[in-house]
Amino acid sequence: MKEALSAEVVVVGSGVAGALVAHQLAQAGVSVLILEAGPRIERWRIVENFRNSPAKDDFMAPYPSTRQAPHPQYTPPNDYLIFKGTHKYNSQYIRAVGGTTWHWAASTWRFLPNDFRMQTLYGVGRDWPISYDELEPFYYRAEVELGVSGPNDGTDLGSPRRQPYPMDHLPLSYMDQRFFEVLNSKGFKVVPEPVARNSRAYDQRPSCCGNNNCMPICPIAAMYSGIIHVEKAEKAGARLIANAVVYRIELDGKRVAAVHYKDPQGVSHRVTGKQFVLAANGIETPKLMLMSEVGNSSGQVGRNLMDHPGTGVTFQADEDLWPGRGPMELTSIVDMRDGAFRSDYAGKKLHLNNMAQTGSATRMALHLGLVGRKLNEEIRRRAARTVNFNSFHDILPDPANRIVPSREHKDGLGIARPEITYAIGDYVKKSAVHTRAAYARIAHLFGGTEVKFDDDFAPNNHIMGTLIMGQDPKTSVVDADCRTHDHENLFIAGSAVMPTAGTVNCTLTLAALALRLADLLRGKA
Amino acid sequence: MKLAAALLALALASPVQAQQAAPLPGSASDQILRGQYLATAADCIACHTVDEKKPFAGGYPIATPFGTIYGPNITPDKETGIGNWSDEEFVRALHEGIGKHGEHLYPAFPYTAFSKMTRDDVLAIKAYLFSLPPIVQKTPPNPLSFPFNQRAILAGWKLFNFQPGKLQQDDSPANAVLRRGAYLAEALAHCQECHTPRNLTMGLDKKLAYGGANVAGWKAYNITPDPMSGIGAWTDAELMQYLRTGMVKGKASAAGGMAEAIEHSLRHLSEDDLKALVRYLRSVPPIHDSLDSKPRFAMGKPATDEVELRGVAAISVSNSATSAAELFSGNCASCHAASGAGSSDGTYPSLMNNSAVGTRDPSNLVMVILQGVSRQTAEGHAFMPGFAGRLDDAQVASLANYMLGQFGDERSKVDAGFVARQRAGGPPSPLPKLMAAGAFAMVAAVLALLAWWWHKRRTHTA
Repeated sequence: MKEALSAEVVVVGSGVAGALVAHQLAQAGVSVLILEAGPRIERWRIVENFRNSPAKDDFMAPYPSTRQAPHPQYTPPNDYLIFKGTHKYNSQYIRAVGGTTWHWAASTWRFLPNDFRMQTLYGVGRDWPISYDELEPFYYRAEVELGVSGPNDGTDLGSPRRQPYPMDHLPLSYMDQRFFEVLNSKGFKVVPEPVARNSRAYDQRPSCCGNNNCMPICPIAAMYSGIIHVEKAEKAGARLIANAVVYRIELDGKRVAAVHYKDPQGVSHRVTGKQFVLAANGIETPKLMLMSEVGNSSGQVGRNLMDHPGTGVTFQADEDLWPGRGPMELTSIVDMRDGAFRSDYAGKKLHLNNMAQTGSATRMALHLGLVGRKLNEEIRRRAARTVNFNSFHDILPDPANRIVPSREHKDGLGIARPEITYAIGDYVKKSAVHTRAAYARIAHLFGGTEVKFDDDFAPNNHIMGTLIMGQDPKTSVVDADCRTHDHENLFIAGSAVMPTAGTVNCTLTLAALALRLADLLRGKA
Repeated sequence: MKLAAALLALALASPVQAQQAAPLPGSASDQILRGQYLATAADCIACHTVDEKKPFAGGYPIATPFGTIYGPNITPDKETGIGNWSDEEFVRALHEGIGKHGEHLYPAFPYTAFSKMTRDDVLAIKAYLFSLPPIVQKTPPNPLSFPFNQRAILAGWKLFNFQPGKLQQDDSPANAVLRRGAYLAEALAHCQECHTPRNLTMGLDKKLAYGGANVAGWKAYNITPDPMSGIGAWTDAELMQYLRTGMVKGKASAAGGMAEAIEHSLRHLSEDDLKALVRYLRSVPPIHDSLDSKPRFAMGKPATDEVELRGVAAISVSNSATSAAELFSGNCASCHAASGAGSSDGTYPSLMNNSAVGTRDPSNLVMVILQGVSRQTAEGHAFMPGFAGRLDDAQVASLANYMLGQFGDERSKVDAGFVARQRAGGPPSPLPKLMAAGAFAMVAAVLALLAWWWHKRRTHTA
């Protein structure tokens, strides 16, 4: 006989958003059941996978896709995501206990106050139904929960704060110091990034020891990952079922009565509860809602898909800079995040890539046909001098950019795969021209040779929009509390609710929204 | 008196003294400052503080084979602390192990050592404690099992295991440093409480003084001057560095109770006191274990398995390891290096030439894997996360055996059962079982002894 599964609050998805909600509620004595589509993988296994994989630049490589809960894989490609439209939304995300923050840069920026008022200020995009000031206390709570280190030296990042960062920022690498000195003296504003990475022992996790592989996997948990709060939630009494792929939301009138999941054998299980929180990211959550025909009276479910389209530049500096010491990213250029220009083209943030360049240097040196001592010297030279910058551009929410469950393509359990239609408009393209000029100037300041621009609008895996937040039920999916307009006991945790993309990584904002949602649910349970 | 004067001089030279910005006027302030230094040397805070923000307010749980004992509140709060204690009552507690109401105190409170403290020093500690703000915090009751919850039984224990009274020492001037060292080790820092094994009745086995003992799953190592089994091969400078920082590259790094003792107590001792302590430890009778042919820090060779691992295992989501080397690589090598050599500056200690690995008693190695390390000193915060929630008993055993074989004493082996016992706080004491077997006889004997002791005491008082 199958077990009757029920909890006061059922959370679908165990990434940072779902785990934070689950932890907050479990701590308050609420019964919580977390359903995670993917498997539970131990950190050491992921570390070993990374070390065993030849595809060191493919940060998905250590996370093998499973039959029952596939996720995008690129080496070799599994074509899980179906692409339509002019641009591939070839995003990365992880379906495993703990979610996608297993691998990230751990950048934990706050949005700028103006990012919440794009329509009012600049006549583009949307306004949020909440303000920066309303979110500020939750930003700080999220920084404490995740363990954020940041510049406590008075550096103004444009997002007013009432409290210092929980930890001081890590020392900058030599390369970051050089860029900090040179660019700041030439009119750029380079700042240390706030990151969910320990600069001292914090929350029973050690300080960063500079393995420089944050984005495939932090081997020592100095960097925050959703698994931290999954484990805390479980300690506080929450129950998690792994390999439980939710494929259907069952309604009883206007209320959600249950969700149904398939186990790896394809057997279906029904889970009842009082409140339901969907936290399965901006692709899988709208897919689930569309498959279930839930919450879509606005027609906006799955629409307004956003990311931070990225461009880049790579060059050889005329001095040794030794990228790769410390974590993979330490500094950003922030003076192009906001301004009157945003009514015309996208704001952006540029960041220096501190990933070790040994791999790219070796490939290039081999490509040049070198052997023996000359090969070694060339690898050393390039590993010390290769510089790479990337950027995030603020894309506008566009209903035409959307994800739907594929009609033709199913996964191993017979569940529809996501089909994504995505295009990048002039708002971003115009900005990218300006970004290119900034790159050229930076390359020039460092005597750059072999300057190569990457104008392909690379994905940055910040899956936003698709369940957008707003006051009007006709044009948005959830209200300011992350509750669906259509169903009073159905809530969304995650970046899918964000009405604008801003210019910075979305994790801290989604964490702050999750804590705010948890407060609301605690009052209801 | 001579000793007290010498102590006062030492205390005034101490760093604790130096930190005081504006001393209180008169001799009262001198006494308080001296008391602060002595309380630090005696590490009172370790067992009498559970919340850093409430120093000396008690509540610290001490696991014993008979149940948990809570260090009481020793702030001057009159209700929940010791605010109502007279000087005589305070001296009696430290010198005789008797509480305010005449009850026998559990020897988790090391009055066996404190009994050797001078009355002046005891009163200086009291003056210091009474100079602190009173904190209201009730100490939890001690939930010991029968018969150990009967304090009368302690009278019997004391008969066998407690010799009150001051240290018998050669008081010639030439002997001053050694005398001071003895006083520190025997009376204040109560080193034997952990480093001397206990007999069947849980008293210190004086024949094996400082010869090493197990405490709640941790090994307090042999610190006699034997060059193989003890600290004989360490230099004075290394021993001093260890007591100050808990870390000597190529020798040892402190974890567990020793890390706590260094953090709260030993690192705050004056240079002269540390020297005296080292001098004294070098003077105690060496205890040699015939199975030891090399010092513990002289063991191990670098690992080379990393190369062999690569390309063998498939990329998977499996949580069972194909080899111990794989567990080591995935869990340990990111900080301690694939070779096990740690970082060159010693921030991440080498696993070779490491006394917790090069040992025939793998208790501490397993405890560090399970519980990690936290040691705050002037050198910074040495921190390693525990893996108790991450690895199961078999995995910890596999990992420990790999490290013992590669970096340590390959004669050492552990199994999952050993790891399970370490998780539970170390091997159980035989005493509770013995007690259960002969409970009635024992209680009867204790009552008889108690009667005799009372009689003797009354006669003595009269």
